[in-house]
Amino acid sequence: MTSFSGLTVIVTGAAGAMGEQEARMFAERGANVVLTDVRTDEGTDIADDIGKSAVFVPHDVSSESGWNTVIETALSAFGSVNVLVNNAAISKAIKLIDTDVDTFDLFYRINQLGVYLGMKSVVEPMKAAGGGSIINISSVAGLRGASTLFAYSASKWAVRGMTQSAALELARFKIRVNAVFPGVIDTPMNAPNPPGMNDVLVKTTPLRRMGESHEVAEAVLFLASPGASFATGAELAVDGGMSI
Amino acid sequence: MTSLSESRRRFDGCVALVTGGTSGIGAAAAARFAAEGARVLITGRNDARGAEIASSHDNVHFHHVDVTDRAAIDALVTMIGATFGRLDVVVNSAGVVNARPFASMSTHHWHEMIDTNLTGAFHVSQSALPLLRSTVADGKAPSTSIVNLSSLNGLRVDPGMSAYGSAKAALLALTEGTAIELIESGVRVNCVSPGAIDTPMSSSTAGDKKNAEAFTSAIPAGRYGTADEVAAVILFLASQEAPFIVGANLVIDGGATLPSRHPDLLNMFNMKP
Repeated sequence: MTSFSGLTVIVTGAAGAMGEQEARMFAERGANVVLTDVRTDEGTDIADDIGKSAVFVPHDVSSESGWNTVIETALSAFGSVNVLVNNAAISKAIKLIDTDVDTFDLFYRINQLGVYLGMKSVVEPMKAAGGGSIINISSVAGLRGASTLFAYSASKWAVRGMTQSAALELARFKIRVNAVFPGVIDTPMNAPNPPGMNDVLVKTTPLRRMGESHEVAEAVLFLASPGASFATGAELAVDGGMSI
Repeated sequence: MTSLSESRRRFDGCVALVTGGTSGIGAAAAARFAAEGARVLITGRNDARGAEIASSHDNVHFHHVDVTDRAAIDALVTMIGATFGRLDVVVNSAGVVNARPFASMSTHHWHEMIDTNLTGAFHVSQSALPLLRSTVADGKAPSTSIVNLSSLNGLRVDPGMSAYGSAKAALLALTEGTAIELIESGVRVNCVSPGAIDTPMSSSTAGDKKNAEAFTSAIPAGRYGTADEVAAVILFLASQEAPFIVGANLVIDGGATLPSRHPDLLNMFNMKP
């Protein structure tokens, strides 16, 4: 089993199903984990359950000062920042013609601005550590158009673009930047979808099922591991073939 | 950081077929599969190297097979079925590369690139398919896996690589087409696209030292990758850690496929690799 012993991993949106799974699996494999989320009660419970190798930081990813707190907490608790998983995101099925500016701006702030601020925040601590690994969670909607997820898709394409540009800029510091593109994953995020939508999404997945959070987390952990040491700017779809 | 060699046994009891397993990435993958518990069959055209690799690893067996020879492949797959009764992983890493200017390219060169790099993967995947399927149907594995080795040249083609790049780009299409057809029987097909990797094959194209330095400066990571770094990715995709990954193409190139890194531009922004 790959060991992340001695490394510190920041996972945003860690009170959500995928973020929680990622944080737990990094911790199981020896990492110290910094969990962040706006959902303070849930995030605190998860960190408490993981134990001494985990801390929770209440955190809105679109807040630059919030990121300072996250980095300070990581450094004071564990002494370094080695891996960042930009997992936090919001999703809602809305068509272009029904999307107002406030809604579009909210998607931009959390799904795009949050990823940019996260990457910017970890550069100095990762340089100090001699390198690092950033994994941005995009989506199948960041590889293809999405007829009912206009603002979400726009923000996830932005994540894809930022991943490539950041990979180019940060390679000289031995900071690898890669992206994971989950398909339909069985999490509460899909619950608010209109009736029948999830069935349709499964029908458009060649594997004919939803993915599980741990299946995405395995891909994230792989990209963070030494096995992926020559991967930067790479794009890994974990989607049961949906984007083919 | 942790070591690249991991003490895991993800392939205990499994059988893996690695074409082009006598050198470079294929040999590195074969060694890793064997280290993680698989019985490994490697194919190639160089008997001396095949024997050397087989003798230096437990559970690696060499068979002289040219992937353009369908009858030889069919015979090998029949033998695998009779001997082991299962096949869990096929890695299509047999490949040849030569640079040729398009204007003067011979038909022979075109066929050489297409036959080994593309048609070979078609032959091996189709020949192995019934055994890959029955391994799942018999309950021996939750899924079985084909991993195709494409190339950075399948995505962004370098000068002189129009035939090789054509074969490798088509291998991506073959990956997607087979992935979507075969997943219903539990066979996952994925692709790895390596960039500049330090292997006998890449040194044959990088040529002299000056050329190699130019190659390296075009890699954001500032170095060639190792065959073992690609092998690690192949094993991840083939493992039961990747059950929801179907039809994916994972580029392992130190960032070399990413655009716009002319050295003059980087100097302008004080961003030398």
